[in-house]
Amino acid sequence: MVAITLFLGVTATAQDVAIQLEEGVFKVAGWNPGPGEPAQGWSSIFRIYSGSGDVPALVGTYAVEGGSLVFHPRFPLVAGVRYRAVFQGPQGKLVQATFEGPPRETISTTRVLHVYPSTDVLPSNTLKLYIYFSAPMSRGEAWQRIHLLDENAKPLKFEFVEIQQELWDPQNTRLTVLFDPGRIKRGVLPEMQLGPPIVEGMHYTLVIDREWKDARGVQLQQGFSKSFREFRPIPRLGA
Amino acid sequence: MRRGTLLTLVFGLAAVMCLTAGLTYHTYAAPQPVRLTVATADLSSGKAQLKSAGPLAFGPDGLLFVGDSVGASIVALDTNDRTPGPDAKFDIKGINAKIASLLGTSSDQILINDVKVNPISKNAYLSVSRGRGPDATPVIVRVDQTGQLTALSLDNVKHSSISLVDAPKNAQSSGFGGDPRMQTITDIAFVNGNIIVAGLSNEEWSSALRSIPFPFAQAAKGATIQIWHASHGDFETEAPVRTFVPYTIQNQQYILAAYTCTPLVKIPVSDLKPGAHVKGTTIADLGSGNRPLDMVPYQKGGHSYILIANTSNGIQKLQADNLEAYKPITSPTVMDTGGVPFQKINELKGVQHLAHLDDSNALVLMDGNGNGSLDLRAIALP
Repeated sequence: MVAITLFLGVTATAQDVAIQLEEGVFKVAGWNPGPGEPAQGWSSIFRIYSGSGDVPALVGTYAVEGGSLVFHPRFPLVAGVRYRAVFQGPQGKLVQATFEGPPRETISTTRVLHVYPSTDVLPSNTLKLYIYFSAPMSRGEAWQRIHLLDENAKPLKFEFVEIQQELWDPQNTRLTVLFDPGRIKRGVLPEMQLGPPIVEGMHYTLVIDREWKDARGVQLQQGFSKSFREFRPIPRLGA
Repeated sequence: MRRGTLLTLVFGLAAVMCLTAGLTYHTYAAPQPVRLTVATADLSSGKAQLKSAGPLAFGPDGLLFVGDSVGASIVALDTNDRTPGPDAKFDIKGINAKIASLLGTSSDQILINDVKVNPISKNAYLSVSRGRGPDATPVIVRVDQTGQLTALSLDNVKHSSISLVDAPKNAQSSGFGGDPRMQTITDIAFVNGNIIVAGLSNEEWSSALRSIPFPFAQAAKGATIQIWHASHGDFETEAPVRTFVPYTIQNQQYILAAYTCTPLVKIPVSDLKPGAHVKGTTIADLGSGNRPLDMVPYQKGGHSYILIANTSNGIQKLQADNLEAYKPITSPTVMDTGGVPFQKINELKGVQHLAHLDDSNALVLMDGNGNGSLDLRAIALP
């Protein structure tokens, strides 16, 4: 009789327990945390994950608030991410719940405003370009999204100084693109092997991929291209 | 004392000594933490102001220096990680997914900016951007050999920082003299009590190599050094340094700097004085298409080598015996990669970061399968 009562008691407790998400805080509702934290810590019974498989739980802090165990993630929840909360109290049944982060924006609104120098004529020792965007962009994919094509629409290689950090202004709305100085300077090995990045008299097209994501994670409204039609010869750099 | 008693005593003492010696031999002496020798007065306790986490470098006693391009500063953090650790055997697959889960986001929303190993504990430290927009949160993640990840708290940590902003009257100096937010730090290293910082401006065509004494003194921010290195029989300034590494040649301290225009240049550290126009020596030209990411000097079989990771050309191993003997490259007639001989290591692909791990191994962060899943692995130095 006692054993049955105990079994029913445990089952009833598991049915009352639920994990809730309120204003970015995860809460175990319907469970009394009791006198204190387990020996292995609150994380041994209550954890949140944002990935699947063998991944660590979210970093954050635990507290007992209003009689309930809560978890405050150290960082805000992220749009488009699914969070999986797992709770198993002492002698209790496993309780799981999934929650979606804030809704992800999907409408493309960001575009390339212009490229500087805006002229169609560039000296062959041009050192840099500026690309201006209408809204903040994401860092980390610039060199996959910018291309320089020759007059046969063939992509050229090794034109730019591809710095891993990328050269953004503080708002991520202007990117500085440097032409490889090793190819502009005369007599340096890259210039001798490949020639200057842009050659007098030839036509080129700068292409920016539409797939480039802005800071919201949404791709550009449209791609961008700019043609360079002619060049003027100018004194050689370093001569 | 009777003879029998004496013998018993002698044998007994001998037995005790042997037992004690045996106990000593079999007793495990846990490694003791290294003491922090940097004066407490040189570090403040509290919240470290870090606006971005870029290049990393370890100083003495587990001090971690972080290059903050957005905040235009160098921040020194006491990792409190000073217990000596064994040689590490890292082999963690999908480290980016693990970091993303730790930080409550997705893999495509984090960037791993640098990887360095604490030479005392052999724990790995990664500078991470949580988010890829202008408001990305900087995070320092520690990874130990068991694969446990820890996001360092910056709220209550011993730290020190120095701003890289020059006073307005010095704004004419190149490199870090302009709008501080327009500078990008490409590499840092701790050498002979100084933090050396390489960076470039995205406002003007200029770059700088800067030496800042540590402990940081607000009044002495270090000074910009113009680097001249010989190329095509002429000197070049202002070219950005991608990465550099401290190096000793015949008991003299140098830094070896890899430039964006691909020469490898050696620069005497003793010449890095404020306002100096330092003449570096081009000792190799790595050739076009090479974009050096990281360099790791090491010794093997009695010879010196430098392992260089490139974005497009994989890993290169340079023979570095007698670097001082190689003739400086000043002639434009050198058509092949000249100077220091090197060979390509084709087995390692997709390397994004390379760091010194111990005497026999390096630590790599690599996208070996080309699918965006990054692995953190120890590799034997070739």
